[in-house]
Amino acid sequence: MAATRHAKEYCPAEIMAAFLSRDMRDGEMGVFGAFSQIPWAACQLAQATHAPNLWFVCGPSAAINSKLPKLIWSVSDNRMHAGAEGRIALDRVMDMQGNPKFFDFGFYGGFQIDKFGNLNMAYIGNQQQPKFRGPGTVGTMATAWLNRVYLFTRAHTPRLFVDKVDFISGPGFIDGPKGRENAGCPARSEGPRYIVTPICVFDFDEETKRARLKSVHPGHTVEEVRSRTGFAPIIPSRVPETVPPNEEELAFLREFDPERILPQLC
Amino acid sequence: MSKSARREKVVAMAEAVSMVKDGMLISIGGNHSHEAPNAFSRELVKRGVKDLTVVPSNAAGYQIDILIGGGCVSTLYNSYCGLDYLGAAPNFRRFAESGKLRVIEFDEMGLLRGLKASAAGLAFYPMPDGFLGSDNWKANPDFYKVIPDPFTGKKVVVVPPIRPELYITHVPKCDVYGNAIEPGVLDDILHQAANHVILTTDEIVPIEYTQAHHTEVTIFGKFVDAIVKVPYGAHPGQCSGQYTHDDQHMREYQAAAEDEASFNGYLDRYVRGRTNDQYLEAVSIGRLVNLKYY
Repeated sequence: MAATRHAKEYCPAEIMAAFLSRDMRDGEMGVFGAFSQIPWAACQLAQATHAPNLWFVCGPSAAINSKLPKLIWSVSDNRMHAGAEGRIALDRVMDMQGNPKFFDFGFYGGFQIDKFGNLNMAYIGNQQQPKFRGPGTVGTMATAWLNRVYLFTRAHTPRLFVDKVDFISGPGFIDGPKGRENAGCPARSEGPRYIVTPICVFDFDEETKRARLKSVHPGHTVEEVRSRTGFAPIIPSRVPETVPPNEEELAFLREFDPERILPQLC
Repeated sequence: MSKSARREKVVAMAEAVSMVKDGMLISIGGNHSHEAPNAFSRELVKRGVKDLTVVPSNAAGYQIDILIGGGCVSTLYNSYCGLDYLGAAPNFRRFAESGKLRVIEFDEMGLLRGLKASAAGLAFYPMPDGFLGSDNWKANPDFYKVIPDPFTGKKVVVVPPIRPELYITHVPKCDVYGNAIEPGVLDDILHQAANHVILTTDEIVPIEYTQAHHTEVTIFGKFVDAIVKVPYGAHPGQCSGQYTHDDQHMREYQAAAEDEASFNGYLDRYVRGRTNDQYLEAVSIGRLVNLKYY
């Protein structure tokens, strides 16, 4: 991309979408679930910039390569089929989740994420009478075994980022370096790649598989990340700033979001 | 040779609802709150059906939450129950946290494969490699069984067939024999997994419409027992090609469902003693018109 001037004013969801978009590779196929405006915007941005051959599937509406020209609140809305190039019903999506030729990456978030990138969507406490009842595991178990997984959150609090999740819906590295292998993980699956939050990005240490601070969004600090994270992330001696959206990326995101949904997300 | 007429299946709502008995295992369609038989759920609440075990789709919303709040459900096969981008389904959360609702802990693939096993008449359906890494099989040992793969000897998780007595869903249009083009994501499997099927529909189309679009048919009339015409039957969810979801009503519902007293207020205003037409009037016809796609 020719433009390198970075935008000064943007919202957290916009820097998150720009970051995710740059990590997608041309020719790949991704899938996202409900309430996924950030991944959807990232896929559209990638297609419009460096990855014209990217494919994306919106699971809740079954639309392949939606060309709906603007973000809407419910991606389960059948209007996602505007301009789509195909329809793939959910059970076929699931059958394809085991096929390495099909999905390269997926996205998810939940109400608890731990230092090994495990995700909880189910409950806290006793299953029969939980302290907190979450919506349920839904597609996160299946998405966890795609080639790469991006976790994204709309908040960054110690209650969300915990040392150990109470229930594993979407397995990350489970309990460390051997966790996925012991669970029978398909060899092709790299596991969680990044956790993208409104204030920073975590990746995972190659050896211990623990979350490591990769970059902090401009305007936020390492100290702030430390105090707002309930687990102790690995913090390298030098932590760069997340590269903000450039003017071209931001212009695209603004045009794609005329109702300004992104600023209301985080 | 005597000639018999082909059976048309359109019935009144009261007749269709009476097919649901206390204590039954029933399946209810809808993708989140969309394409869901929401008017039918309101009728079940009105009628005070009890003790249902409910099998929703992979993603349940209003159609299930109102049944839970209305006291109709004792057990829920749950992959997801929520209100999409609005957040929690409050009755589901309240009833689960107080122990009044028994939640069977599924993930969407396990639930769906149980239904697929039923549709195909299989003894069980295996889950993919890696399933042992999630906690669902530990929380739901009656459904997720770990067995040795007979070919490799490796551990594999399998789920049994799930066969509801009745499946109810809403479609934008169908013909009088029950053939429907349902652009949702799962109804093709859900309707084949159950013993009997009820459709509610916004519109009844001539058989010629089905014949002109036969490659798009997802619900086969062969499996359908009864059809009820219900305008705006998916409200406050969307109905593909007809109207989008009613964000304002969903928010009103969500706020009301936070506690028992305010939820009773919601039921009094919109459900108890109301016909579907009266419900639509209470929502306001002007708002409904504005939800139209075209």
